[in-house]
Order: sequence, then C-alpha cells, then structure tokens
Amino acid sequence: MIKLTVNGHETKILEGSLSILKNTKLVNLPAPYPDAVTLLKENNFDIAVLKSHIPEAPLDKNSQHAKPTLFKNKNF
Amino acid sequence: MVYALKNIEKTIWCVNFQKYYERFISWLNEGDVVLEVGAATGEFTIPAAKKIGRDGLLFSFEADLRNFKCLTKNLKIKKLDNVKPLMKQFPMNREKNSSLGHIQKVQDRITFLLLYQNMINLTMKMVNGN
Repeated sequence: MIKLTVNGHETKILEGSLSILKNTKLVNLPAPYPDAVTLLKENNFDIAVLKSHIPEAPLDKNSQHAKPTLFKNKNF
Repeated sequence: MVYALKNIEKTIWCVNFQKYYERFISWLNEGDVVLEVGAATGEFTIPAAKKIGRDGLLFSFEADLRNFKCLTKNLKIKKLDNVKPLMKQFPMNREKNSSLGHIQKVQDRITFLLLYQNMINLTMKMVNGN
C-alpha cells in the first residue's frame, strides 16, 4: 500500500513512482486529484472507496479535501 | 500540534482523521509492506503498523523535523519495530523545462532508486527471516 499525504504533491510523487505501482495493491490519496486519478487509471487502478471522512457533512463539490480516496490495483 | 508525548494514550489526534484511516487500515493484511509519504506524528503509522504486524514493514517518510521527532518518539513508546521512519522529502518529478529542474530530477531519481533498493533489501530480509 502507498499512502500519500503531502499537500497536493501526490501526483508528482506518483509520476516518479511508476515502477512501484505495478507491484502495489492499494494507493491512498487525501483527495481524487484529477491528474492522479488519470495516472492511476492508466496504471490499472480503480477507485475502491471515495467518501467524505466527515460522515455527517455533505460533500462540497468545490473542496477535494473532503474526499479521501482509496485506489485498488485490478491485478491483485 | 502535539509535542508532549510522555503518555501517548493521552495524545489527541483528530477524530475525523482517525475514522478515515480506520477505513483504509481495514484493507491492510498481516505481512503487508506499506509506503507512507507524509507521516506527520503517526496517526496513521501506529494503527497501520499494528495491523500489518511483526511480519509487515512500514516505510514512513516525514520531512518536517518537529513532526519527525514526535513520530519517532511515538514509535518508541509503542515499541513498533516494524516501522522504518525516514526524515526525507520523498523524491518527485520536478519542472521538465529547465536545466536545474533536469538536474533535480536526476538527483531525485538517484535518491529514489537508492531508497527503493534499501526498501527492497529490507523487505527481502524480512521475507527471508534474516
């Protein structure tokens, strides 16, 4: 599993870690950053969980930070 | 921010984050290898390390010195020896269109490869029981 919490640098780190991704079962991001989602989908990942970590709060469409996201590798 | 960690049981982490992490930690299995980038003071690290157990391995990157000190102290208190804390910025791709960016990118790749090799070595040691 790779868990990234780096204030918006997640996509850059993923771009530099492509060689790890094929052997990675799960990737956890604090938000579904569009570029990161595209990159992960290109590398055979699907969104497994996408929910607000504040259950009672409605999702704010303008705030990605309310949507921690878990991606699962389809090969595992 | 939490600095006084004499008794970690009294440390208060954000409940919402803990709930959020619980969900993800439930996906981990014993013996898993976890790469955590941005560990802060260990609110994910500690429960995840417990979940993967002694057969698992967790590499924990934290670039901020104060956070890193808290993290290592927390790990020591919890006696979690399956976590390898690293006070480094995880390498990332930089701007491609400048020579400085290119040098940084090459340096990042070398750093990353060394770290990756170190992680593989530790993982293999763990798997082989050495």
